[in-house]
This record gives sequence, structure tokens and C-alpha cells, in this order.
Amino acid sequence: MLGMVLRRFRDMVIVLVLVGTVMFFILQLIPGSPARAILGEYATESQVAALEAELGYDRPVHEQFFDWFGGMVTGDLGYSTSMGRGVTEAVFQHLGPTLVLALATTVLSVAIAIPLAMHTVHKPDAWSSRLLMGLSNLGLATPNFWLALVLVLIFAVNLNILPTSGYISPLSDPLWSVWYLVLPVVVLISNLLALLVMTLRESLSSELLSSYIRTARAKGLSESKVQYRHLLRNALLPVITVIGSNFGTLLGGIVIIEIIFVIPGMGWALNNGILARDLPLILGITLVSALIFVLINLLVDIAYGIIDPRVRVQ
Amino acid sequence: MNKVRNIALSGMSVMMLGLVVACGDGPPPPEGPEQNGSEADQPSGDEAGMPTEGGTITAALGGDPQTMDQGVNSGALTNLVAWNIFESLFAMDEEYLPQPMLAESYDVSEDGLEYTIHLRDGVVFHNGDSMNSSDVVASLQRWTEVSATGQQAGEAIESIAAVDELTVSITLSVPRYSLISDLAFTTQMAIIIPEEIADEVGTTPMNAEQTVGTGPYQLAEYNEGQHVLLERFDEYASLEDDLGGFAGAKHAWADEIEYVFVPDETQRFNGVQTGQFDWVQSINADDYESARNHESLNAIPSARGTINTVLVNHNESSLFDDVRAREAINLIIDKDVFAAATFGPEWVWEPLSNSFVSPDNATMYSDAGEDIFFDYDPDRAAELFAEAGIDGSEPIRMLTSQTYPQFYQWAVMIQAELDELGIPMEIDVYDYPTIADMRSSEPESWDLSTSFFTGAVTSPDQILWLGGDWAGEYSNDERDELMAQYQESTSPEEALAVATEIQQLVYEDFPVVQLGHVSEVNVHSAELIFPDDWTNVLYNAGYGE
Repeated sequence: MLGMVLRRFRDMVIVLVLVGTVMFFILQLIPGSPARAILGEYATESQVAALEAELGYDRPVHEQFFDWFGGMVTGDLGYSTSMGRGVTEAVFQHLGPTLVLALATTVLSVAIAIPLAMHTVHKPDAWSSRLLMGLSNLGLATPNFWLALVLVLIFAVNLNILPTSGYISPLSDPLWSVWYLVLPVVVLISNLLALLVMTLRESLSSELLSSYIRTARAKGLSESKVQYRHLLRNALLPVITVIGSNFGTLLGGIVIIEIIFVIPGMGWALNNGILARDLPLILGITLVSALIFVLINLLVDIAYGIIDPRVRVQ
Repeated sequence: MNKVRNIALSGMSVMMLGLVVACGDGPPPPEGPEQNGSEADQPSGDEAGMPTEGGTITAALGGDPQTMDQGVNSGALTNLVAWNIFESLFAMDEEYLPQPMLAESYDVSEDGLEYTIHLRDGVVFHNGDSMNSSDVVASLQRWTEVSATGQQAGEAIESIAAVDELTVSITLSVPRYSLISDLAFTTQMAIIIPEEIADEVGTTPMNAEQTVGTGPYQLAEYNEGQHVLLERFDEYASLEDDLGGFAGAKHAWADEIEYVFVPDETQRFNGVQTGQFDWVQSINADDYESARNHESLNAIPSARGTINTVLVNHNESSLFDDVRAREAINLIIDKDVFAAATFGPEWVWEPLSNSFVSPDNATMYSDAGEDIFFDYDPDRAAELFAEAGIDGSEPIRMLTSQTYPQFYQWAVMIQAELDELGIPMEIDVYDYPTIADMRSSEPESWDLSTSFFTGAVTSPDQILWLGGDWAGEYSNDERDELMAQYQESTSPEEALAVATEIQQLVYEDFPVVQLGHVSEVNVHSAELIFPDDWTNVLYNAGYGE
């Protein structure tokens, strides 16, 4: 296990270097000047050129790259012109709201998906199971941004019981923060929950036919023990992969949802960075997203080992 | 290279997951609009009564201004916030005339080359320091470096000097009729800031700590990406007379103004409907009627407006280097049809004006060229295209953006008209920062583009597309002579006559093709009282009893 962890850390460094380098050069190809974003669209060409020179964007690309790369190696991701602060500080400031959103979405989705999936497996012909599977298909097929606007229209504009947008940190006011999080979390859950129910149902169905389930029942174990200690534990493996990759995606920035609901998370910052052509910020967010993905994959692998001892042996 | 760049752009587009659909940010609309025959039958401030002191105004902007430094930044997001914080020596009143603001008065020498500006005593910066002539000198010198208008004025300015503690002199090398108007112009404004800050920031934008002005509100908190909080500046020295516009008394009724950033237009409108926001920056024109009929909202065509414009590339690589091609574009656009289809309800644009300023801008308004503006003659256009060598063998390239939906709509409507003539047009759609950059840095990549400009200019020099240092590279000797002649004017009547000639030239040489004027609508809560229809000016807005 330790060897695997060390190998993953080595791979992580390689991934980050590659992602950073490739992204740096891709971003150079994109038209649009950070100086124009700062000066506004009605600035003259000479004003833009002067500010670009002042910001160092007129230097040769390789010079800019080595400067940025050298900083990255030492943990300095540069200065964000749109945020007016260091990139590292800006990224971590915006990571908080996304983390809250991702955790709330994931925890609630898993908590709801497990009993629902168990129900559909054990009573596959019940009308409630059919309804659940239909709703899951609908959840997977519904675009998030559309659902978001519809829910805002119903619950905020017409019923006026929830805010249209905004964010309050749970650390500053836990109760009000929930009020603001309800709609975005519901929108995100609609998709993830559907995916988890479908995945877990498939996994549970195939595990249900396994011989160890028959053995457990033959031993006289109670049905709840069979289901939760044996069936669910083994069926969870593919679900963990789904949870891991979705959690990574959520942390990487749920751009549309954060923009619609005005949540100052990573997606919001990425959007601002792109509109402002704030290259260090875009690079910083990309790198942190890549780092999160790699770490989550590592955690998923470790979780595999904990849940299934055969993985540890392999 | 273009392919590679397009691939890169596509990649970014995927990353943004259709951001364009949801967001709608980009270039902030150039400052606000103006009333267009204020037919709104909703209560104006006067009818609703006077505001009283107190409360917080929550205002939703379309994006993060990034800086409050409106001396440097030319966009509306910055201006909307910064008008509360900064002031200049002169400010534009509701008739677009410059009135003393931080200046007490001024004298001009007989030859028009020496301006002596007397400053108001007792003006205090937000950092507690009193304003004096050295602050003004440092600020004006910075203005001549960072502002497009300031740079133009700077070419005529020989020196700026402090005469005494409260007197500044500006010596010109050549007369500049618009100097006082330039000092009152609200885009890249000639803001007065403390000398040490002007020296410290130089030509770069101020950060939050350096955001120190003399205005009725001071910056309390700027949380980048989230909100800007302004609080009333208790030591603000207000003038007494209400002059409207940006001039005269500033009441600062509300205790605080909080600007939050809501990129999605629909969400801004939703928020103001539910009372979450008290004021919102522009919303989708399709929602204007709904806002106007909403019992708890006011949707008044605001003072000042924008001039919708098709930009034309005069670079020799473009098909539109030939005036006949430019005239032909004007002839295939039926202005009333365009306005009805894309400007919003009639009450924001009717009667359609052809002027390059807002209709109530008496300093420069003229209807010169109106007959050419409204001329719609596709047959004649076909002849002109043929004479200019545009035969449909190569497509016309339109550079536009969906950041503002109307930009793309104009492009599609022009494409349809050209299609009728058998001339293909390629529409290249990017986000606004990209087209703003490409228009200048890649002049060989486009023929036509779309934009809008403030109608609140008070000198032809302030019209960007008339200048040579802007996208399109327009150049014309007659223009140069008229622009110089304007600055030699000695009376408003003379200046207006020259401005009228310049506008006539615009309809003969077509530096751009104008589509018409449209008022901006800043929807706000009916409880928020404005003294007039300048609904962008929040420092004079407040709640009633």
C-alpha cells in the first residue's frame, strides 16, 4: 500500500508539471489581453500596449514561461490581476465555497442514494421502484442550468421562499448559509443522485447473485446484516469511483451553477479569470483542479483497499 | 496558426461549458443611457417624494469591475461604482454642460491658452487629508497619461502647475475648446486623488487600499469576485444646488451601497423582482415590458444612452477600405426594422435618432445625415458593392460576440441582407474580450464588427472610432481639419456647427455605420427614489418615509 501511495505521489508531480506546461502554452494561443480587461473595452491600442509592457506581457513567451515555472516549483503561482492578490491566496479563498457545495452535494446524494438503490433492487417490480428509475433517467437527462433557472422561477420568484442567488459562508452564519445553498445543492444532487442510484442498483443486482450472499444467508445471518455488511460493502466499489470522479469535478469548479447562483467558488473564479484573461489565475485553478483529481484518485484507491482486502493483496 | 488558436478556443469553450448561455458578461455597457422622450408613466423621484436618510441599497452589477480606478478603466462596471467614490474638477449636468465640482470657478485668458482653476476650499479626501493644488496637479498629470481623452488633451497642454494652495493653472500650446468638457468627461475620468497615491500608482490601476477619492461614498470593502461595499463619507462637502446629471449636490441618502456581481441577466431580473436587489444593471431587453408592468418595480428609460454601431475596418487588407462598400452596408440596413427587432420595446428607442450623441445632448446633437441614415436601398447597395469589387467571390468577415445578444442579432440580420444580394458573410463569434483584442491586434482578420458607444460625449475627440488610435484605423484629412477646427471654436454655437459638419462627414465617409440610439434601462425597486431619470447615479437615490 505504501509503495502504491509513493508511486502515486511521483505520478502526481509528473501530471502537474505536464498540465502546467501544456496549459501555459495553450493559453498563449488565446486572443485577448489582460491589459484590455483592466483598462476596459474602450481603451486605445497605445494604452493597452503600455500596460501590457508594464505587466510584463510583452516579453518573449519562453521568458514568461520560465518565470512562471520557476515560481510554480517554489510554490509561487504568480499574481492575479483580476483578483488583486497572489494566485495561491485567491485560489484557496475560492476553494472554500466550492468545497462546501461539493461536500453537501456528495454527502446528501450518497445518503439518499443508498436506501433508494437498495429499495429498487429488493422490490424491482414495485411501482415506487419503477418511478425511481424513471426519475433517475430524468435526472441524468436534465441540463443543470435549465433546472436551476426553473427552480429559481418556482421557489424564488413565484413562491419567494428561497433566494434567487448568493452565498453565505457556513462559518459566518450556518443557518443563513443553508438557505442560500438549498437551490444549488438540489440542482447538483439531481444529477449525482440519479447517477449513484443507477450505478449502485446495477452493482447491487450483480452482487446479489454471488455465492457469498447465499452462504451468508445459509449461515443464518439476519437479512439486514447480509445486505449492509456483505452486499452493500461489495457493491460499493464502483460507486466509490463514481463518487470520487464526481467530487473531483465538483471541486474543479461547477462553472454554470456557481455563475447562476453567484457562488464565489472555483468555477466563478475561473470564469472571471477567463473573461479577464488573467492567465496566472487560470493556470493556478487548472493546477489545483488537477492536483485535486490526482489526490482523489489516490484516496479512491486507498478506499478500495480498505473496503476490499483483495485489492490490498494485489 | 488560426486553426491552432481556434482549437484552443474550442477547448476553452468546452471548459466553460456553454458559459455564454448562462453568463452574459464581458464588456460592460458603456456608461448609462438617457431618456428617450420619457414616456414612462411610472413615478419619477419627484412624484414619489424625497428620499430620506438611511438604509442600504443592494445593487446587482453584471460583473466584477476589477478596479475602482475609473481614471484608468473605461468600462461601465467600474464607472457605476466609482462615480460614488471619485470626483473631478468639473462634472456634467443633466444638460451635458460642465459645471464646477471640485473647482470653485475658472478663468480663461483672452487667447484661450491659459486656464486658471480656483479650487473649492474644505474638500476632504477619504483618508482625511484636505485637497489642495498639488493633489490636483499630480492627478491631472496622471490623467494626461492614462486616459484616452486626457492623452488627447495632453497634446495641447504645455504645463499644469500649482499657483497657490487652491489655484491651478493649465497652459496650452494650442487652443482646446473642449478642455473643460474633457475634465468633466465620465469615461476614464479626470479623477482627483491624493498626490502621494497618484505618484505611487503611476499609470497602473489603483488597488482597493489606494482607492481614495473625495466623493460622497468611500470604499469600505472590496471582496474581489463577490461584492463592493461603499459607506457614506460623513465628511463629504456637498454642493448645495441640484443640477442633475453628475453635477451639483450629492445627497448620499443611503448609509451604504452594496454592489454584488450577478453575471446572468435573468438572475439579475429575478433578484430585483423578489426584492433581493434594489437596483440592477441592464437586463435582457425582452424583459423590459415585464419589468415595466411589475407593480413593485420601476423601469424607466434612463438618462443617457448608447449608440449602436457597426464597426468598419479601414485597414487596406479589408474589403471596406473602399467608401462605396461602407455606404452599401448602410444601404442594406433598414434602421427601423433593426431597432424593432433587436433594440427592445419602442419606448427605449423611438423616435430613432441618427446622431452620434444622445438626443438630449444639446452640446453636440444634430440630425445631419438623417436622410442617408434612413436610406434603405438594397439595389443601389448591390451596385456599390460591385463597384467596390465585392462580388461574392470571397466572404465578408464579421467579428461579433454573443456576450451581448443584440450584437449577434445584428450580424445575422446583415448576413441575411447580404445573402439576398448573393454576397456571403462569415460570422466569427467570440467572447467580447477576444473580439475587442482581435479588432486591434489582428486588423487583417475582420471586415465588420459590432459595438455600442456612450451618447454622453461632449466633444468629437471623445468619440473613439473617430480617432486614429482605435480599432478600424479610420483616417481622413477632412476629419482631421474639422476636429482641429472644433477645438478652435470660441462659442457653443460655433462648436455645435463644426460638430454638425463632422456628423455630416460621418454619413458621407462612413467611418462606422450607425444603427441608432437606445436608452439603457436600469430596473429598480419602486421603493427606491431617484430625483430624475439618471438612474445610474445611486448617490442621489434613497428610500422614502
